[in-house]
Amino acid sequence: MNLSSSAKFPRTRLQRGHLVFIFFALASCLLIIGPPTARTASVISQTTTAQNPASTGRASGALRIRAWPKLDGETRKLDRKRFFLIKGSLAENQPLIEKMNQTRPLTRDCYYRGIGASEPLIKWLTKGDCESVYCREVSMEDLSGNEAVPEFQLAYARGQKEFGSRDVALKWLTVNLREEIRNGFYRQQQQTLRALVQEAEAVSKAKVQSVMTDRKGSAYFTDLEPGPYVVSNLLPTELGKVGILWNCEVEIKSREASIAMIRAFQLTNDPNAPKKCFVERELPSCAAPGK
Amino acid sequence: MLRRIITITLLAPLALAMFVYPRLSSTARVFQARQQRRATARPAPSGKNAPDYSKFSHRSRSHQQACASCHKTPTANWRVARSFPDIADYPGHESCVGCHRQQFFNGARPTICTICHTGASPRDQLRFAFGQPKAARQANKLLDLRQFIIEFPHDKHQDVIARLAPSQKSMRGELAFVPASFNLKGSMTDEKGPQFNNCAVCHETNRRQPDAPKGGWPGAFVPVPETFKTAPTSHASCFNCHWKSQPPTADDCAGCHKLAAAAFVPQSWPTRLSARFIHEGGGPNKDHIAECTTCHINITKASTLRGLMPDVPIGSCAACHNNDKQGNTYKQITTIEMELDQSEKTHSCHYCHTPDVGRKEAPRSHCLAVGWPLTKCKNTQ
Repeated sequence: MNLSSSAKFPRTRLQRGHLVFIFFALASCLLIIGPPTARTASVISQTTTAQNPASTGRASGALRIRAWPKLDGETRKLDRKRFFLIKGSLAENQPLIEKMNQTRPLTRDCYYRGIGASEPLIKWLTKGDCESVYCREVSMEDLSGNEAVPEFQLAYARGQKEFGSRDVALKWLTVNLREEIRNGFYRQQQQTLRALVQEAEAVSKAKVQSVMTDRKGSAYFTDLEPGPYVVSNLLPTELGKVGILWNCEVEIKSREASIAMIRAFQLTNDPNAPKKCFVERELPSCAAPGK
Repeated sequence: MLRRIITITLLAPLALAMFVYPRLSSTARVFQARQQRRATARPAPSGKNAPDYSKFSHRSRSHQQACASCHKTPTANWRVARSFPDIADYPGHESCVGCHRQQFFNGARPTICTICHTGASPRDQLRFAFGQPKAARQANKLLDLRQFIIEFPHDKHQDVIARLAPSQKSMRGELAFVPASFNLKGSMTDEKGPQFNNCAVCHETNRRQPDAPKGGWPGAFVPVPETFKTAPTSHASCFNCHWKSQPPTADDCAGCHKLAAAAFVPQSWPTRLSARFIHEGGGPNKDHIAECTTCHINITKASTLRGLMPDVPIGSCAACHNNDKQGNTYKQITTIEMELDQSEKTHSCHYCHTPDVGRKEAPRSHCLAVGWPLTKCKNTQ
């Protein structure tokens, strides 16, 4: 009995010693690390920034697209057109793609003729492939002569009265145009696009990116997680007498934007392309009255 | 027992030192930060907790009424101050005196007058420049303190304004963009053709010598004015479309102006990695005439200015500055490969970079852009 007691004692003493040591060691460690001071917080934030793919361009994937369809046998670099990138494969986004195929948006000509716009205005818009009157400056030549636009003439007259200055009336001409003339077509398109984007985001549970092509028909999607995506224009792009709707599946690998710039994913309307991913339809005819 | 005493004796002072030091140092930092905040945010009031009436803050709760309750659109002086209808002056006295009668009639030189007026005297009518200080002929405040940040969606504007412009080729039915950087009377454009809107509507070539940053220019390299593009500092490029009808309209200040968390002095020029790149450069023929979005690849998707980065990947430069001279129009061009080669000897890339950046190892992206082995680009960042 005694033996066992005496044998127990040193063991207990050793355990206490260990406990004291562990306690102080832990306390010391905690105190060294301490509460996050301003300095540690700043280091953390710097680390976060450095690890952000957007800031380094390292961890994320990128995709360059090139919209080069053919019109009358000649390749056209489709400039200033918006494209969207939807997360997921074609199969995963099938209901959305079906909806896009069924959507028949009004063409520019049909819209403007529908609201009773003058023929010179429609001609002015068509000349620059403009979806609204904001695309180019209205000049004095558009206010007089054979190609004078009656809507512009009226707005100019109103502006002169309002601002007391010909110069301001001309430069600010659009402020005195009716909304549907000003940008009704663009707004209508945006409404349809917004609805489709919302649906795409609800299905894919990811934000839909959108970019616009440059004069060479190129654009870049950046900061992409690896995986399958669908490149789409959501609404048919008017090209001559046809509208082209693209829905093409691409696989994004983690790579830098600089590599993406070397190889581009090409959007064509070539029926012999290995992976046909477009629908081409004739646009409805909304000819000018008397034509 | 002896072991326990020794352990405690050794560890206790150590723990105490470790406990006290970080707290003391962090307390000192917090105290310093507080002192700095006090010094910058609130200058010494005349009495205890007395407001400083020499400064006006839109953040004050009583100053957060509808903008139109004080600011008139346009102000009566617009014909004198501007070439277009604008908010070109401070609100009238009636906007202030309703609440601040006491401060208005406080001695011969009321402090409150110095918010707008250059002198604090009822006879001094001169005011500091309003809204467009750099272009105005009036006196400017010493510090260009801003209380609002601007909300501007590049994506929407890109949709409606960035259009095709007829070039010389347009005679043959082709179209091309007007690069924002160059003269419309240049060789690529048809002088008699219609003028299309594009990035240049807001971003023109800078003609003003840039102010040196705090601490001076890196490597004492002073950039020429044409290095940069300007950003709008007035309503001139907004009101021509947004005066009325097209929201946000001129009387809806909050449509674009968002109250900042604290007053700030805006950065004059963007911080560049390639400080030596000149927008108006590209040799004697000024060949840096690519369309803006060809290099600034993320602009067309930017719905806000917050966190907006110029985002020019090295691949944009590599499109011309590469060793593939056979297919390159610019035979005399300095290439990325040439720079990487010489940097192995000099440990510096100075064609595009100032020493603060150029003395670092080349990042992998530079090698990838020109198809060089990654061993030549050791910087993994």
